[in-house]
Amino acid sequence: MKNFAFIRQNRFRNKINFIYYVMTGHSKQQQIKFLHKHGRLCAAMICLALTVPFNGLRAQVDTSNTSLPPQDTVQTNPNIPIFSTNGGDAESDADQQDMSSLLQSSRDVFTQFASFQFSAGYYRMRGYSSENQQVMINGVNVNNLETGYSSWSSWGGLNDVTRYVENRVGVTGSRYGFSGPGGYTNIDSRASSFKKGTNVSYASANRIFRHRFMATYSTGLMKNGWALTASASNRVGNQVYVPGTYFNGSSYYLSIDKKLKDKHLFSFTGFVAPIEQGRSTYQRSETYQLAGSNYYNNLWGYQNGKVRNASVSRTRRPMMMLSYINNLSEASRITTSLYYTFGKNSISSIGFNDATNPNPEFYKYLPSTYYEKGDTITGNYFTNKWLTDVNSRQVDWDRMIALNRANIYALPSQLGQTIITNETRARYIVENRVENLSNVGINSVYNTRIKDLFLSAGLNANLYKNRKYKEVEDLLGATYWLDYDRFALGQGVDANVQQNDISNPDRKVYQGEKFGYDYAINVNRAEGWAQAEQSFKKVDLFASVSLSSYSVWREGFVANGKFPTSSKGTSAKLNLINYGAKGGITYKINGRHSLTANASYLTRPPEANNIFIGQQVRNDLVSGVGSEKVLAGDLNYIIKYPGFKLRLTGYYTQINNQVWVRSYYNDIYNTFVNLIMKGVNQSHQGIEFSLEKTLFTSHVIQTAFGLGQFVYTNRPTLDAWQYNSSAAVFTDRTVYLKNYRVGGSPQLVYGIGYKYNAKKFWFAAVNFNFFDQIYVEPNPDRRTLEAVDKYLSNETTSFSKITAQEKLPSYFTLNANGGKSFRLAHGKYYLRLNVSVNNLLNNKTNIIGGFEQLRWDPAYLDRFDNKYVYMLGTTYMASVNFSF
Amino acid sequence: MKKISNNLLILFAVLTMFNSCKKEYDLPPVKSAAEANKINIANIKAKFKTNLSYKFKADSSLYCVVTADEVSGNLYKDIFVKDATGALHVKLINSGGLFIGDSIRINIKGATLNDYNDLVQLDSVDSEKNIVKLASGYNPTPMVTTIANILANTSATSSIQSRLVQLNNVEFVSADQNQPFADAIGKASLNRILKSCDGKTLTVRTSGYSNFAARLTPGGNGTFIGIVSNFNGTMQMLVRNANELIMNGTLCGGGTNTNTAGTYLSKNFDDNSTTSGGWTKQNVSGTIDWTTATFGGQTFAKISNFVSSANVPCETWLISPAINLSSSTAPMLSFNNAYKFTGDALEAYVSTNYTSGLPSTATWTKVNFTLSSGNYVFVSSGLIPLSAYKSATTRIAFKYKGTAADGSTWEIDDVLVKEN
Repeated sequence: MKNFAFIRQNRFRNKINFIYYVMTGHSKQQQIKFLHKHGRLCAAMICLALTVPFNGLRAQVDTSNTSLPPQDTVQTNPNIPIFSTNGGDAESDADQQDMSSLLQSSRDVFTQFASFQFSAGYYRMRGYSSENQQVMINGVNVNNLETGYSSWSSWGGLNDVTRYVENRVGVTGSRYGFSGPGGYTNIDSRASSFKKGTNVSYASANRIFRHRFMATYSTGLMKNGWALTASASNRVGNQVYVPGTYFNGSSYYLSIDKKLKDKHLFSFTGFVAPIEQGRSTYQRSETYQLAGSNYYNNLWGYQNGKVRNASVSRTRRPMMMLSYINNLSEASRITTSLYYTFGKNSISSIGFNDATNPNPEFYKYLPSTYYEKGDTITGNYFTNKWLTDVNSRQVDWDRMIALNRANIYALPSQLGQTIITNETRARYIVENRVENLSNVGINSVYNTRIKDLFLSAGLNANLYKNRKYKEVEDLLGATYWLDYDRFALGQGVDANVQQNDISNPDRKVYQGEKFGYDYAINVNRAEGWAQAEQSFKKVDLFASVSLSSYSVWREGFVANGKFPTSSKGTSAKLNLINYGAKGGITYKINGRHSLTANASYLTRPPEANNIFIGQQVRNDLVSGVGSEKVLAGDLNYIIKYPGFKLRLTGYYTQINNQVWVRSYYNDIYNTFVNLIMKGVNQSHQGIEFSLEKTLFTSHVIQTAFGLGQFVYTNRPTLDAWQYNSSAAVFTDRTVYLKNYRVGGSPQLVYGIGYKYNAKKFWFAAVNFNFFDQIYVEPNPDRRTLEAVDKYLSNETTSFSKITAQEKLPSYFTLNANGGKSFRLAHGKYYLRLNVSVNNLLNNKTNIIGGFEQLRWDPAYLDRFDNKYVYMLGTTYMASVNFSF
Repeated sequence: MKKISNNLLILFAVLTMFNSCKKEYDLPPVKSAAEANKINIANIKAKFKTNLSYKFKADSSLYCVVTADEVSGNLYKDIFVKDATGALHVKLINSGGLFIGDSIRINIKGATLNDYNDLVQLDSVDSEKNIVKLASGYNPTPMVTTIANILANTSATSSIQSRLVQLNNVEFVSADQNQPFADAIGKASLNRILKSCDGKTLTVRTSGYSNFAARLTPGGNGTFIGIVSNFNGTMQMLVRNANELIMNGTLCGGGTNTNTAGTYLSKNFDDNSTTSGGWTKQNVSGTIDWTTATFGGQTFAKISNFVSSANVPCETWLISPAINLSSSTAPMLSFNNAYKFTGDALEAYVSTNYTSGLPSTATWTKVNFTLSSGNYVFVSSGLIPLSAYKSATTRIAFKYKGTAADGSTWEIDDVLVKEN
């Protein structure tokens, strides 16, 4: 059935929520000294994140995830898996993840701008998507094995205990593991890392949530060798900014360490962040205009007068890790961790069968569809409906429930018999697409120092299984749902074809039961790596290597009527051996100036979701899929003086042999169509420049400039498959993609900030940011010869309409923040107040993202036009933090 | 420090230059317009030979304007086009996207020239692959001609074939006045005969799938616009849209137009009123009311018991004014109806003794009619004889019933009582 949840949320949207922040230029040590000297807290150091004393060095970011949601199609960067929540794809997981590679603060000025200023415009440093950066907690890699993404939302709200972050950008050495071209982030959240204290805070905001409560208690490392840290938070909000959305998240964290004789540390860390969120999504310009708001959201409607969202994401994925750190000697250490992540993510959508499409912005309900044909009367009719009838503009829950209640239905096998029944068959249901994960892993790292040589080596292995199925969330007044594939109707004479489960034909499904599809993606991975770092007087060097094996397969638990022999059981396995090597050199011109050069080459598996054809119903692998090949390098010039910092970087990255799979609903074929693009190459090159200057000790000026060129560099091939047929729609079309820009992130950003640090422990800051070179991700199906073959060279209007890439308008933002700290009772208590305001000018016309619909119609080139999302207007977050 | 900033500037400049080379998009190759062959309709028709089909094998561009499209449903996978040299019927292998007034280019490669019962056509044209829309809004002006002239040009390759024409001072023959254009229920095409005052006649053929099939032919004299077609040597006309026929004048020979002749009751709800003309509504139970609604340009009466998430029990009547059928011969009731959603069927009744108030104060007889198949598809009720109710106070009524469990949405339109 077609799901009405069309899109995938925009996983960058949460960045809107980021806090404005400017850090001081002090290093941690400097600040602590400063604190000691003055015996009280330096007010200047912190942003909104509320922190315990002496820990104020790092800004905290709220990683809560604002999602958005259903549409016929959505796509983004080819590196970012699908987006269409239409049931046709399986990436609800990625959906709930926070894609940012830079959610944490960093002492690097450019990274700070990227995290706290540019992120509101979906900026990704160097254009990298999340799989390029390794994210770790206590040294354990938490990037998803299937998607490569890191799920920041898994520890969302735990700001107090995810504060200690080590972050390095780009090709870099790492003592934790072999990181990709984007660098790595390690969050240190062991109990023994925290000082004794209690911290409670409250924040009020009008972005994603309205209220946030956090409380953290740490014992510090006690004399008996034990340390305990516990933290909990709660974030709630209902329709805070975007209509129909809501957020309801709690987070819990516990860490217990036991230190034995300075030599052994046993550490347990466990956390879970259950989040439920009503989403919003990208829209066409037409619906924004009709609704009179750039925050129109088609995903909600009234049920009995109450607002209900059709696309609700729920996450509950605990992670537990048990570590043993053995300090073999002063110079050597072995860290071994065993960890386990499990639990469900789900996204709801409306499934329907034998019924009209419940999506209020389905193209047949939009006036333009009729105006385009010259049918002004019907066009005016729908315009009027949109303008005057909220149930036409939004999901009409009451109508669906009434239809369900009235739908007494006889099964085909009962036709002709007299059936007396009160049971009604659902035409509409709310269904959850569930992913139930189990990932167990072990990670062991050995570090040793021999004079100026630092050696690291490690082994890690994972057993990953993600079971995906649909379940009935709400029958909307009906008694049962019939487990049919509505797209399979009329596909030949075999009555089995429409059965989602051949062994249970005509199955009635009730609330909470599985239906539709049921399969697991299994990934086994093992890796060994080693690194050497050597410091000389003028030169530092590092070199790392990695070797890994990766095996992925699908395991179907039901036989689907469309693919009776190839849906149940185990698919062929894709086995890949990958390797990587990197190295870097730092040339210290003098104590203040240095030049570094880094380079890496590695191969890595494609995203597991991209290697199957019609993953939900078939065991078939995309043919000819191999490892991606990544070549990356950067050159940096760094200057560091007290009160002056500068970095200039040039980078170049080439990512080759990628595979890209998306699916979308096409009502001409009346099914989902799977588009598979193979052999995709892209390059990311550009420069980053940042500078920080402190004037007269209390005035800080910071600036950052990033100019990139993120482009596709070859002509990949494109196949298309239908979900309801084993025959391909077409294969091996050439996609003329070369030099198209990678969509999503702005490729030109500029920011400048000024901050005043007052002596009385307050600060105020203002920032200006400029965003440009923002492109809409191209749909490969429109860049084939077949798509434009009929046009002659002078017929440029239609030709361009199909092939041109849309560049979104540039824009700027103005943000401000400030805060003040109080020391109470002679340092017994600390109170901190912080306020940040984003988009001071309340500009509601900044388009921060867009995509081309995968569906397009050669006869109606305007019908499936691009969809966009706008930056929120003025928003604030204010917090009070009390610690002792 | 100065040296540093100099170095920095140089590095910066180099990096910027390295980065800022604009790269051209790699686009699929296109055929050169300069080298493309052109062909016109006269050239194409010149290749026509009766009973032979001619396949075009080379790329050739036909530049033309669409004169008739599929919007009204009278054509399906067909369009008519014209250029300076003539007009042509184009048979498509896919539907949609081309509208009257579109300026298009057809690459005729792969298309076949043949005839369909003597109507010359360019067959098997793939509109997705071979037709390029260049512009729109070039609304073609029909050529004014006469029935006599059309009848005089029966040759399959005559330039008038497939042409958009306007006939002035024509009318339907009396037997075909006020008759449906086609059989909307059986989806069958029907012929109606058009005549000019000099007695020349021409067939007007309309598809049962056209959206005006159930409309009645005009009963007056006036202007007719359509496409000239040909069926086995017999010339015929295709209506693009019934709204284009402005035929309400005095008939040939001076007769009054019959647009309303023999009509005892007519209600089309186009005034957005359910009660104009003396109609009344009676709530036997509940408060659900008849209203009017508009869809696809059509205004009709509508009723539904589905109110804010629930089905509301009700019984509501829509009752006509008294109709004087006392001097009628064979009065017939007809109306169009449509519904959607599960519920009791709409019922129609006749009474000769109702005056006012609740329907139960009078005697009503239920009459059967053709029900819509649902999904808001309008069908004609068929002709319901009212000969048994020839009184001066005959009324008809529609009864809608909904329960707490269900209820359909019913729509009715074009209620007519007239002589057969």
